Amino acid sequence: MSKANMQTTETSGAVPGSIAAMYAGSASVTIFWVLIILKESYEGISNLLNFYKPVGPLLGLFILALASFAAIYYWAVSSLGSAVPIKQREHQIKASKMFISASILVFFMTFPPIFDVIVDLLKK
Amino acid sequence: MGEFFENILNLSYWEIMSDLHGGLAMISLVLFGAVIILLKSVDKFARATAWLKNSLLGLLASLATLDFMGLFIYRAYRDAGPTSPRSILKSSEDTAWLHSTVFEHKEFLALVPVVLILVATIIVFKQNKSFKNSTGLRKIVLFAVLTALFYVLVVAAEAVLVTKAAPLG
Repeated sequence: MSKANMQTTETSGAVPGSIAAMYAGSASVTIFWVLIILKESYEGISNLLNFYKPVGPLLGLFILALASFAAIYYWAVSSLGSAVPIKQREHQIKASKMFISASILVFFMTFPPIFDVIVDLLKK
Repeated sequence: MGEFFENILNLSYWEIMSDLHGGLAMISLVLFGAVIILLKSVDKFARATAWLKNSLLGLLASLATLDFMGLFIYRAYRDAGPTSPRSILKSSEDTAWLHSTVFEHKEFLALVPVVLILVATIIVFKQNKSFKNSTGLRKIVLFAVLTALFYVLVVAAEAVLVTKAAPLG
């Protein structure tokens, strides 16, 4: 195999579905912790999420986070489908960075001593 | 032997469910191991990507089921009743933090591994045969799997802390 061929096979680009999954994952976990903060800050939002009383607002949070994943995934797939390859490569890099940052950030933003600081500010 | 079966059969519905929940968590750890090994082997043998897809699907199913079961099994810890584990934890200053910090974090963080593994599964399925040549995406999938594993271990450790102080039964 020539060197040029080897380089081509080593750097297969991401298809729109893969890039969309990274965007959707980043948005979904971010929406999730933002909703946690809003739920803790405003009783109205907590009540809105609490549509099945025995489980509490947690079920509403889970459903909304997963629904936002699905919505953003389909929106991103349809938007990226028409993008030229060079743009897709840019999107792949951007989506990867966003996915890594959002995946780490959610660990801290779901930790009560951290999000309580924002909750206290919103409650004032 | 008779005593063993008598006691097993006398376990409450929620005790059986929480045991099954623990068992399923063990299965997910095995699947995490399989996925990590297969990710490292995608360019080593022909069927590796196909096996990786199946393992990721199994892992996604086990994590989603764990979350769904957990919503109902742990509801006693969200119940404000006077004898509920939540009230027991909150009644003492020594254990109140276990509910307000550890349990809350465990409840919220539990969703994240499902999302991370969902992203990893979609990437592997969408890339299909080109996955083994996509160096960048292989790194992203490995990151998603390792981060999800770390979060599952944190959630499990937090659950142990809480249930030790105020058992479910």
